[in-house]
This record gives sequence, structure tokens and C-alpha cells, in this order.
Amino acid sequence: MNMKGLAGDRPVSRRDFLGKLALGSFWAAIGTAILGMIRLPKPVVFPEVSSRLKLGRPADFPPGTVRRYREKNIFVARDNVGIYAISAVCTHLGCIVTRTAEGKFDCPCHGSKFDGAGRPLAGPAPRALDWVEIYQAPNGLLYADTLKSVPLGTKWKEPA
Amino acid sequence: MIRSIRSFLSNLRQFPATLWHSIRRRGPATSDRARSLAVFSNLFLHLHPVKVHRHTLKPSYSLGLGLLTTVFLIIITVTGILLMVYYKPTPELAYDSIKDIHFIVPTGRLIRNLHRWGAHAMVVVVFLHMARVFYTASYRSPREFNWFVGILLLALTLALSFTGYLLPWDQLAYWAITIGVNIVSSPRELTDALGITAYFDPGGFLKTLVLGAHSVGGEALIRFYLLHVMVLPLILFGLLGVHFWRIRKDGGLSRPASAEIPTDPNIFPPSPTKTYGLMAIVRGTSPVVGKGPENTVSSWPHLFIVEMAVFMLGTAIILALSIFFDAPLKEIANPAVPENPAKAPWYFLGLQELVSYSAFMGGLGIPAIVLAGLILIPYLDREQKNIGVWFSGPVGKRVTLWSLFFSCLSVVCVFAFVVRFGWLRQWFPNIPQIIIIFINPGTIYTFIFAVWSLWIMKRYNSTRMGAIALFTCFLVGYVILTYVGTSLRGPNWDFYWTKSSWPIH
Repeated sequence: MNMKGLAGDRPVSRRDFLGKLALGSFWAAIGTAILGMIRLPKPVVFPEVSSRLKLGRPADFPPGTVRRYREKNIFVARDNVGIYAISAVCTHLGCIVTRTAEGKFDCPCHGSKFDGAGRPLAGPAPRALDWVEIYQAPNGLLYADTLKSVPLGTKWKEPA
Repeated sequence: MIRSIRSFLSNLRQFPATLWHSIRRRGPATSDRARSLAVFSNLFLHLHPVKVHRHTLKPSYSLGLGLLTTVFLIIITVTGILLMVYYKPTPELAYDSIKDIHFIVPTGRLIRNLHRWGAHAMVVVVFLHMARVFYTASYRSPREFNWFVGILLLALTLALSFTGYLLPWDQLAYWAITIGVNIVSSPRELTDALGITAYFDPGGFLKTLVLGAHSVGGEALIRFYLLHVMVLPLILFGLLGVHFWRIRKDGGLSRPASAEIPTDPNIFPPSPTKTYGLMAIVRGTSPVVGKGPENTVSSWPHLFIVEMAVFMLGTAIILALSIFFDAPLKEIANPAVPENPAKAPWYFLGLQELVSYSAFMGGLGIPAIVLAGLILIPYLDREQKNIGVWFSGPVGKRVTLWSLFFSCLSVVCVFAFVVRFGWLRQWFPNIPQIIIIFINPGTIYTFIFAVWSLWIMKRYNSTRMGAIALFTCFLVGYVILTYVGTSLRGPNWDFYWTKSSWPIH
């Protein structure tokens, strides 16, 4: 087959056009098949345990409390305004930060440092530690949902 | 009647000999023709040329590094298949099955050690092989594409190493997956900084694809297992076939012009009708009886003796290491507590050092630039002088030494500066994230090396000298950063001169 005819210096003949179309349909079929195959390893249902964590009654958190929940890697604290939860997962590459004696957070893997509200102070972390949603269930108990992040500074307050 | 019985008995008696002959299809290799056929008519040997240039067999030229890589690959493949007999890729069973292999299964400890040391040795010799090919200018036309394939094989070797050390599901494995997956999803840093993550999130897509979940768990383990034992090896062996095939098609190992004996055109008159060169029996197009191509010897037995010797040497090294040093196994994976410091195996510690400034540039951007740069070398340096000469002669030797000196100095200076004075966020707490992402010390190194290389290229008016400068800087940078990550970084990735000065906690 003379491929030079396809190069553009001559107008594409009808036969070349049909040949090109056939070749194009071949690659389109391959491409579609590959895209279709990528659908398989990308799940739509996630096989995990619940991201919710039962924290307890609001009265269990007197002002000044800071608690670490290892099973969900969050810190739950209460100050004079309300109760809030900060994720312990470093925003850089997912290591677990530790809380220092001054109430700041340090990451052991690549040296990121965060202040008490989780804002980055040093190191490679691209953003503040996630704040996690806290809500009260109808039975009066507080829950945290680690998959739902809320804006930094969002605190749960006792309904007046 | 009786004659057929006699013939039957005689055939039966000769069965072992005729079976052997039917397999080999030839007599003893006593003539050059028989030696050629021994290679040519054997499926397992026909990968080789029937004649090999004397220079190719010189140990001081190739250093046997490509062969050694293959030897280690064979060891890893065989031991890997054996390990699969007992290994169970689920979070509940993986760690215990490794322990079983190590402490209970007969020869399990040795096989596991062989697999581990073979993998480490392969990473080392792959790098050395690349350096040998580079410094002897063997990537030149027509071998550019084989250099390209070689770079892909280097990347696959590292990918196989990475997916391999995740499988024991110990602390190293768990936190390496976590960090690796977050590096994969680090394009999100960039899309976050640009504010487009909600519409375009390649980082999140890749993360879901690799983990099969929101967090590291059983789905991720089975995916990495699949990559390690099936997907990546298939690609590796496919590319390795291309790599070997291209060595033959590109004319064997490169060699200097001085190794050639000029061919007399009267002995090999050009003939347009038929070529014997394809069979690598002769070089010209028509053979003349009694006159072989100069300076070659039969592969059988000369090349095969070399191959078997390298095979035994490689196996002996790995066996010795495996007998005396056990493959480590840390505590079982604990999602709540990373090790402090959490370190990758040595060959990734240079990357970990870069990642500790910004994940996207250190983990994806700079490795991509380095790989692209390596692939481009033979397409940008197309000079044809001094192929097959170490360092391309005395000038190249000088450039290599100066580049060695320059890159050591610049890497150490930038690193010392960073350790002493910190990095961007310590000076400007409110600096935009996009600057943190792109201005990584690794970016600075890349920039310095590129400028040095261009300057050398201009000064010597040679693309080859520029390539030597850049490649030497890359090797030195890799080695020094690996040393930094291995020995000078302690808890919280802080700087310590020695491990003994780490704080006790």
C-alpha cells in the first residue's frame, strides 16, 4: 500500500479515505475496550467498615479535653466554644501525626509540623490537617465521620 | 518377519541415542559449521549470534553487567514462584505466611533471602549496567531505541521492587503503601492549589484505582500482589525480549573502531541477491569458503562459557549474602502508628529526601524529568565519534571528573544550606502552596545540573560532553541523596550526623 498518498500533498482519494476510516475504527475499538477495562478496577462500592465513630455524650467532654481515637486516627477536643475533631492523617503523604507537649502536631515521616488547629508551620504538608464532622444523633450521642471534612474551625456547640 | 523383529530390537537398543539426536538434531560440534548449527537450530540458544566478536567477550569492556542483571532476574523469578506456594495476599494472613516461610517452611528462609538479595542486587547492577552503556557511548545510533527500552526496564525494576516490599504487610509495607499511594495522588496538591480539584482530579482517580478503597487495606494488598506477580513481570519479560532482540539487530555489543579489522572487499564482494548477514554467520552479503568474518569466534563454546561463569558468579554472590544476612521483617502493620522515621528501602531514600520538601515535585515531577532526560540522551547526542570507548577518550574523562567534583560540591552545599537555614515555609509562613510545590531543592539540583551541562556542551562544543556532564551529575545526585536519606535523616526526618545521636523515646 502506498502510504505516501496519506501524507497530505495530494487530496485524499476515496479509497484512501475508506482505508483511513477502517484504520481509525480499529484504533477507536481498541481505545474503547481499554477504557471499558479500566472501569473494572475502579470500584463504585467501597468495601470498608463504617467511617463513623461513636464518641459519647457531650458531657463526656469537659472543656480542655483532648482525646486521641486510634481506631479512626482522629483527635477530639473541647474548648470554651465547642467540640471539634481533627484528623491525625498528615496531609502530605498520609502518615499519622503525634501531638506534642505544647499541643502542636508533628509528622514522623517527612517532618511536617502543624499548630494546634492543624495549620502547617513547616515541612512539605500542602494544607492544614482535615477537620472532621461531628454531629449529634437523635439518641443524644455524638458521632464523628472521618470521611466528611468540615472547614477549619467548625465546632459542635450545645444547642441553646 | 524376523528381519522386522531384529530391526525393532535394534531400534529399541538405540533409543537413548536416537532420542538425544532427535532433540539436538546434530552431531558433536567439531567444525565451525556444526558449532554454528548448535546455536542456530536450538530454540533456547538461537537468541545468541553464532559468531561473537572477540571484543564483546572482553570482561573489561561490558563488565558482564547486563548478563549479571539477567542472572539476578532468573534467581528472583525462580525464588518468587517458590514463595508464591505459601504466601497469602490478605491483610490477616500475609504477615503470618511470611513468618511461616521464614521460620517453618523447609529452606523457606534461604529462598526468601535469595529473593530479597537478588532484588537488591538487580537494582544495583541495573544502575551499573546503565552507567557502563552510557560511559562507553553505546547508546548511539543504531542503539538509541534499545537505550530507551533499557530505561523502561530500569523503571520496571524499581516498580517491581516497590510492589514487592509491600507484600509482607509489616510496618515497612503498610507505611510504604500509604506514602506511595499518596505520592500517586499528589497531583491533587497541584489541582488544589489551582482550585480545580472538584472538576478535574487525576490524583483522586489514581488513588482509587490503586487502593480500590478509601484507605489502605485488603483491596490494595491484592492489587499490589497482582502487579508484582503478574502484570509487571509480563511487561518486564516482554520488554526484555525486545531488549535482547535489539542487541542482535543493532549489531551486537558496541565496540570501538580499533577492534575492527578492515574487511577486504575482494573477499566479500557485494551481492544484491541474497544475504547471509541476517544469520550473523558472515558480515558481507556473500560468503567465501574458508574466510570467516574477522575477529570473531564461535559462540559455541566461547560465549556460553562466559555466560555460565557469570551465572555461577552471580548465584554465588547472592547465595553468600542470603546465608549470612536475613531479609528483615518488621512488626505487623499498625495503621495507628507509623515508624519514626518511616524509611523506604535504600534505593528510594533519595526520592524520600526530595519528597520531604514537596510530594508532587519530589515524588512525580523530578523523577519524570530525570526519566525523560535519560530517554532523550541518545536522541540529543547524535555524534558518531568514539563509540565503544570508555568516557569517549581523555577529554571525556576530564569532564567526568570535573562533573563529579562540581556535582558533589553543589549537592552538598544546597543540602547543607537547607539543613542549616530551613526551607521556604519557615521563612515565609504564608507562601502560596504552588511555590512550595515547584521550588523543591530537587528542582534547584535539576536546574544547576542543566546549566552545568549546557556550559560544558558550549565549552567543548560537543553534545557528548554535555551528556557526560549531565549523566555524571545525575548519578552523583542520586548517590548523595540516597546516602542522606539512609544515614543523615532520623526521627521526624530531622538531620543527625549518626544514628547513635538519635533521641531516645
